Amino acid sequence: MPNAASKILLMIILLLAGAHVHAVVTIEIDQGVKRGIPIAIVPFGISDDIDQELELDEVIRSDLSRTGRFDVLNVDKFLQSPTKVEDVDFADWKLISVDYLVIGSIERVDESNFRIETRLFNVFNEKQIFGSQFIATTSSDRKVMHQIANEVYERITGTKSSFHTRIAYTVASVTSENKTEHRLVVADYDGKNATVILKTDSPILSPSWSPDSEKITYSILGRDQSKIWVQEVSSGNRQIVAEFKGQNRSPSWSPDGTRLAFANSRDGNSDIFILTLATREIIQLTTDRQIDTEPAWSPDADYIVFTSNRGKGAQIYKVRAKENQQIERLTIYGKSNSRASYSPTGKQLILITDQGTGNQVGIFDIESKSISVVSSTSIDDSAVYSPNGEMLMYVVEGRDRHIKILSPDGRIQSRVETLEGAVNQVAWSWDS
Amino acid sequence: MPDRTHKSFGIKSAFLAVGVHAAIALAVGVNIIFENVLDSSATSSSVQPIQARAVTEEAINAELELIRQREEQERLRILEQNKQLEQTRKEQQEAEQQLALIEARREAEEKRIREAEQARLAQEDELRALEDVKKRQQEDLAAIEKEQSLIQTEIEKLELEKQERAKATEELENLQKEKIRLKQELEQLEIAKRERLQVEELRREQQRKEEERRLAAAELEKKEKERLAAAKLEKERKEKERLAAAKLEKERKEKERLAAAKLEKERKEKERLAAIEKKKQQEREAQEKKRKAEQARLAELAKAQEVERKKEEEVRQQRIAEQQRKKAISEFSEYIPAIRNKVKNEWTVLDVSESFKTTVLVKIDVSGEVKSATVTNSSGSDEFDRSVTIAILKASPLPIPPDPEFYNYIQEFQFSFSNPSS
Repeated sequence: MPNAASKILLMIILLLAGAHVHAVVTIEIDQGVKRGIPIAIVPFGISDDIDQELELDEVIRSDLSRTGRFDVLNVDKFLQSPTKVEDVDFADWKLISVDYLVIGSIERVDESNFRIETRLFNVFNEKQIFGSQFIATTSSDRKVMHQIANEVYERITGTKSSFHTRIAYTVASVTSENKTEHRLVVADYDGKNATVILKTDSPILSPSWSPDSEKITYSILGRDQSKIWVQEVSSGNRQIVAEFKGQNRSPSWSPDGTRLAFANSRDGNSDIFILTLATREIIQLTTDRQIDTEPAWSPDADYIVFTSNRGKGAQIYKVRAKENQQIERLTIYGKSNSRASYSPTGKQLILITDQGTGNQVGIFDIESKSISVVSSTSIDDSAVYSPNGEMLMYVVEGRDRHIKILSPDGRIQSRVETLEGAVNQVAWSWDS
Repeated sequence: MPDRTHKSFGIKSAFLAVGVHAAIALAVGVNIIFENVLDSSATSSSVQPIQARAVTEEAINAELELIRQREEQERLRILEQNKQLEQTRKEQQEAEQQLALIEARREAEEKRIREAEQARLAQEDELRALEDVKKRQQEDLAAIEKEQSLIQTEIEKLELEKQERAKATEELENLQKEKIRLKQELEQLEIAKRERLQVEELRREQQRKEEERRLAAAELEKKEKERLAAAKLEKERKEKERLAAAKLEKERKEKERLAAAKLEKERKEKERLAAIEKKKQQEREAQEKKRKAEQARLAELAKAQEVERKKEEEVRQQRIAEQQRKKAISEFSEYIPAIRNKVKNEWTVLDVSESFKTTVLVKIDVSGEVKSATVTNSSGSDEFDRSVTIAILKASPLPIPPDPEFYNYIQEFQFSFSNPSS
């Protein structure tokens, strides 16, 4: 079809060319190849006076390959390994079909500081796209590398990366006194720089980041009552925000940060409520006799999606974030669908779906109402979008519960390093 | 199983019958033994009274007679007894036979019972099997029901899909229609274009005619002007003649009138004639000058014509060049699919949701090597623009017509990239 169309177009162009002597032939192209962008990241040059072990270019390499949008060339394929502009021979890189080239070097400034210099080149027009300098300490070198990876990613793809993001996860482990210890951990999106911000002997559930990435809300399961807490990440200060009669669970922060949606069972069965943090006032969204839980906000804060068993099995429903609103069922297909949350565009939901073969990560398209399964295992839990919506993260269940990062096409999967224990749930946010 | 209970009832009664018979036979047996015992004791006791008695003959005779009678009676009794015994034996035999019969019947009955029992067991097994089957069937039924519900969901899903497909088909049809419409439009455009070209041609023709008309009119005007000029000259000449004649007449009259001043007049006449002669001479000279000027004008014209001819030649050359160019481009168009293909395969598309369009001007050398790829119309996204220029540069050298005579016309062309509609 496009061929025929362009043929006609060409005819028109030729006709016009007859009338205007200077008309130029135009070739239309509206198809390309979907594949990783070929890029080479040359090992950074390290000056002789540096003896510390620094994780440098490998951070950039794994950041870029994890997205699934790059084809990061293996170092052993390189014909040269330049660290300075004058050493770059573009012909060598053209020969191995690399579109982009990253080089860099690191040198000592003083006792604790290093200067990292890096450049990105377009191999084919042989021009530099950007060059920058960073000052790093041994403890912040990874952060700087994420920054460089982020710059490379943005300059090439035109979109924001996920490299500058943080995750929070809950992990349970057995202590030497044979007691179960539950921990809430925050870390870089690749699992590094992990910090435990809470330890308790009761399960910590449903962590959710505040939109400014400075606080986390969660529910702690008590013997008689679950309560909802808000904790400041940097100071560790925390307070109870919901201890209403019954179980208080599944808090979810509103996009403007002023409210929490949560599930409460004061009437005997779980219903969806909204809590205004400043006034501690609540409004009730659902009143039926079935279980309604796991609320999540739409990015425009107009809607809340939640899981309910009011129909046959657990399915996802949608309601306006106000009192006395009609409830709309969203998911139709699948034995059960649960734990939905919105994509940053608001057009999709990520959820846990059971299509008859166990729990898997699914993407539900709100307009078409179709679900596509993206994970390859059949025991998945707690799936979330990256803040830029370009990657997914979920917990793989089973004996070895752990976190996986997934490119949205499901092509690239990688395991996130976590603290020892069984990971339960995960939440993802921009770096504050 | 009414039949079976009935049968078991029959078996029971048969048992009962056998028992009764056996009891009777046993009783009979006992009787016989008992009587035998009586028999032997009777024999010994009947002898002893005889030895104990020693009375008269009569008495003895009577006694003997009595004994005889008794013996006779006894004999008869024994006979009777034997008869009875015989009878009993017969009966016993009969009973034994009957017993044997009964035994045989019982055995048969037992066999039958065993068989019946086996049959019952078999039936029970069968029943159990049947029940299993039933259970299995129920399970199957449940599974089928489950499957049916699944199928129902599947059907609903399929129905939805079907609807979607129908929608898609409809869309496709619409697209098809749209395509046809576009094609028609294109044809119409084509026709319009042809018409436009025809109109253009007509207009040019008209213009040409107009020009000719204009030129003819100009020519006419020029002729008219010349005619007018000639007429004026003629008139002037005539007037001059008239004046001259009048003058002569006047002179003649003057001659006549002024005879006295004849000499003077002759002198003056001579002078006048000399002047006329001079004027005539001047006129001749002017005419010569005019002739020369005319000659110069003609030469000028010839020169202009030469220029015109040269110009025409130039146009002709241009036309040839244009034809050459068209030929080059048509030759080039044969290579366009190959060029497009090569660039397309080198283009790693960016995963973006916006729609972008970029135009790139490409200069190639005679072997098709891309000398430059310059964005002439940016998509607004540096990243998108860069992705397309890289594709072009990676696709170098581009496949182009090998004939170098065309190169002049195809050394520059452009690509228009738009991101794939997803």
